[in-house]
Amino acid sequence: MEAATQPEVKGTPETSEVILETRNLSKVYRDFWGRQKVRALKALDLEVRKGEIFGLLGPNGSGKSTTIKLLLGLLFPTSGHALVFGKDATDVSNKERIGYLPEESYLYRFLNADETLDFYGRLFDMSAAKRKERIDELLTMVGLNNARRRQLREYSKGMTRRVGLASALINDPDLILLDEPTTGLDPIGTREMKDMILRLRDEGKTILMCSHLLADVQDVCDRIAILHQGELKELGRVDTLLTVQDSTQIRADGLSKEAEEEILAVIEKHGGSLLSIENPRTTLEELFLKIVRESEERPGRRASGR
Amino acid sequence: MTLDFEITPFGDWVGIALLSFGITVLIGALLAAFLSYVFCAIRHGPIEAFYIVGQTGAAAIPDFIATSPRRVIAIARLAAKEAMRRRVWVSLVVFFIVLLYAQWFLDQGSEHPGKLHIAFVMTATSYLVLGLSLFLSTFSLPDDIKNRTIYTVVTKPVRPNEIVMGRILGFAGIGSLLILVMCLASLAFVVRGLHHTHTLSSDLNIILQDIETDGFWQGQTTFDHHHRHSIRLERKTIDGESVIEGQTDLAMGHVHTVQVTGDGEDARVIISGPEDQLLARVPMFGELSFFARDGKPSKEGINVGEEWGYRGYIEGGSLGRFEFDFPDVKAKDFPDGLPFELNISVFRTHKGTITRGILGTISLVNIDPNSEYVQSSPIHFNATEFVVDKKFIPRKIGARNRKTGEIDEIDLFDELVSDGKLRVVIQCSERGQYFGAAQRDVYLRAADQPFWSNFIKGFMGIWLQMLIVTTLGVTFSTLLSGPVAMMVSSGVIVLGLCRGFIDQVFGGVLDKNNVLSFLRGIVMREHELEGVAHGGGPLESIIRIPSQQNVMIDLDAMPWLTNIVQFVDIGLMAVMYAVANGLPNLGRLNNSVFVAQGFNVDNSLLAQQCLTTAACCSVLIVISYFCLKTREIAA
Repeated sequence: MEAATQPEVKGTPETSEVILETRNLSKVYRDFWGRQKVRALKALDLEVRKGEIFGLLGPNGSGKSTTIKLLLGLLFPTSGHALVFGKDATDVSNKERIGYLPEESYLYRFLNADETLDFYGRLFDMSAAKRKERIDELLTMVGLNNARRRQLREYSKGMTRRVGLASALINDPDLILLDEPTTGLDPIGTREMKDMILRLRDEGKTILMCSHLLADVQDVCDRIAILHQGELKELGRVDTLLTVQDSTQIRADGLSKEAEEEILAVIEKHGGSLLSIENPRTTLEELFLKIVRESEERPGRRASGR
Repeated sequence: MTLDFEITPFGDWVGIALLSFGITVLIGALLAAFLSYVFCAIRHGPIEAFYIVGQTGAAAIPDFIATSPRRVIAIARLAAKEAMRRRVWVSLVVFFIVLLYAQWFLDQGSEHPGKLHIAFVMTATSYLVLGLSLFLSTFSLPDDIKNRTIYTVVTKPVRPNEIVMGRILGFAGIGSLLILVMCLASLAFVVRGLHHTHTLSSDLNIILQDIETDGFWQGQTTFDHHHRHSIRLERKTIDGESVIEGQTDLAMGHVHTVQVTGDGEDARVIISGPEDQLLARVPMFGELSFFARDGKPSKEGINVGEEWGYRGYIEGGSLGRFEFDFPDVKAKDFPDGLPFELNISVFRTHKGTITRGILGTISLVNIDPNSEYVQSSPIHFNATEFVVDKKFIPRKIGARNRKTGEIDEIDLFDELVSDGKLRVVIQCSERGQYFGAAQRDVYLRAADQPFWSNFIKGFMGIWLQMLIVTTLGVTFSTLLSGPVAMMVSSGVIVLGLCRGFIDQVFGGVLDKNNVLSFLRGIVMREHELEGVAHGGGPLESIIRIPSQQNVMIDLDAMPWLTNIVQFVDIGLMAVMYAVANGLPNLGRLNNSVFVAQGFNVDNSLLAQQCLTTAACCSVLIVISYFCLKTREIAA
């Protein structure tokens, strides 16, 4: 596999506006006496451009959340700089244009969905009319219109994540930071979340998400960075990184036995060798969705699953 | 029952207070900037530290200017909801239970039940509200940080000062609501709890017969509410109508008015509820001067040997006198005459008739020596200890004409008051006895304020205390965990309440030191009358207490040990003095003493308290802004 360097992003040329930038960003956690406990991030250099979905990948403890917290001003860098919209990450004015979904829904459980969104809307200094309009729109979007008056303590984890997402979008942000966005969601919720991320990108938003779920990242991200033990290990476009340059896969439908033999002859003629002939595989997620869809269309009947 | 401290007029106070506040803030800011620089320099180096401190300091101004009321109110509403979720209303339930059973443990035989009831409800409210405010304010922010709900707030365009102000506003709103409910319930408790009436101990027919034959009836009321009154009923003519009425004697701090209405079988006795018990007297004080036994001015009165030098004494049967100069006596304020109240202290060098007070005189003097009437005829009164003597001087009084030498009946406002100024001279008439007085012991009682409004002013003191406690709690919670913030805040509040005592102890410690004794005057600026505390500082006390040494004598230890102990005590007390004087003096916000003693809470004092609270809260908000701004929320 060929390790790709930073390529040109589709639809977001290198000349487009840099939204997020880290320069030699490092973070060291210290104990009460100032002694070094752990070096969470080591000299990270990144650029995220307007309109792209950027994924931060890595195992637990690799520095993904630390990077996001530094970009949000929740942590201060030990050295280096974190810039958002060209300003220091701690600058309050940046936050007018940022939406943030934490890895767990850190919400006030004694509020209901309406009150929660109203509270965050007020924090953006939105007028009452605008808040109401936006709350209705977002609750419809995340499918919580019927549960808007219930306290969040009564919500399931998935529902809480949706309220969290709605609250992250209350200000119609230009930059959205998503920390493990699909955690706690069922397959339908996960798919909806991914569709929403793509839709937001299509609307021109810039999205930075971190996850250790590769499938999620693969499905939605334009570019990714892979962190390990606080260090940047890989950075590039997803399609480039996942493309196996020296192997070719042919998939076709409705071929007769004779046609398959003919293709085999062509491969041998060009000096190639057939690795395998097999029916194409779907993903588990797609299978599950198909079953659910069939079940909804014909209630009571066992779905074929195929 | 009188006030034993001065209230400086707001106009005189505000200039000095603002100057002192400005100097303190400036010194504090410079000190904080220096310490921050040192701390930053250790971590980031001297040049970068300079930029960090400068940028952080400079960012504060735009942050405070850009404060959004909508965001502050949003956070305040959230804090209020959180407080309700923490079931703050339970404190109201506790308060009502305490009120329900209060009569069980309040001293029913108290000589001053009004004072007792008022002190009780105000103390109960203070403890409950301040305790609750402390709990709410210190745990809220640390809980948010611990639960990480704060992440969703600080990642919005919210400034640290908005977070702090919102929380203070929210908790103060809840505290205000509690205080309002407690105030109204307390008012009802005091008024209803003290209300009572009596019946007369004799049959009405007998009373009427006695009045017909003797012209009066003298007897007692029934024994109700742990007391009875003596009463003398007489027939009087008021506005051309003959009525039978009288007033009971003073018992348990109140009197009743008794009237008999109707005749024959229709005759009814009407006894009023307690009077003169729940008052809001508005005293007008004069400037006191002492004159010695030879009639010459004296800086202070005679010291009769009391350690507490609040009052000065004059000798009876001599030219010694008190002169009180009242600056603004107007006829429209006192249309019928001058209602004086005197709390003259009596020092007897011989027993005399112990059941009778000491005889004295009051004279009204025109400060203009060329006026026609210089001085009124002496008005006699009996000074009784521990009781406020009331003396009403009517407008028409006798005064000797300077030219004719005749005693004429004059209108005191026309002849003795010059440009609103009136001098009142008090002398002791009995040789060998002494009168003692301080400036606040003699006053003119202008029209009383309604008791309920004074009661509310008393609760305003608690409200201001609650504001400071809440702000203090939120400030410490920006830096410390909940339990630690609560402990530190409690310590600060106790230090603030004991500030006067700390000053006195420090004054006492400095008093023993020849080198530093010049500092004593600065330390004791507010406590000259009470004097220094004896017995030394903390270390000296540790030696004195187990060895049972009298605090009035020098420490009985080896000279070198005494020197070390006193030297260490100066250091310890200096730290405590600096800390205590940098903290809000919550004791100065306590208005219960005025309300309980029946004096109107002076508006000037209230204005001073409000401004002091506002200044204190402002400083604390700025401190908490920097604490939160420089804190790594996710660390």
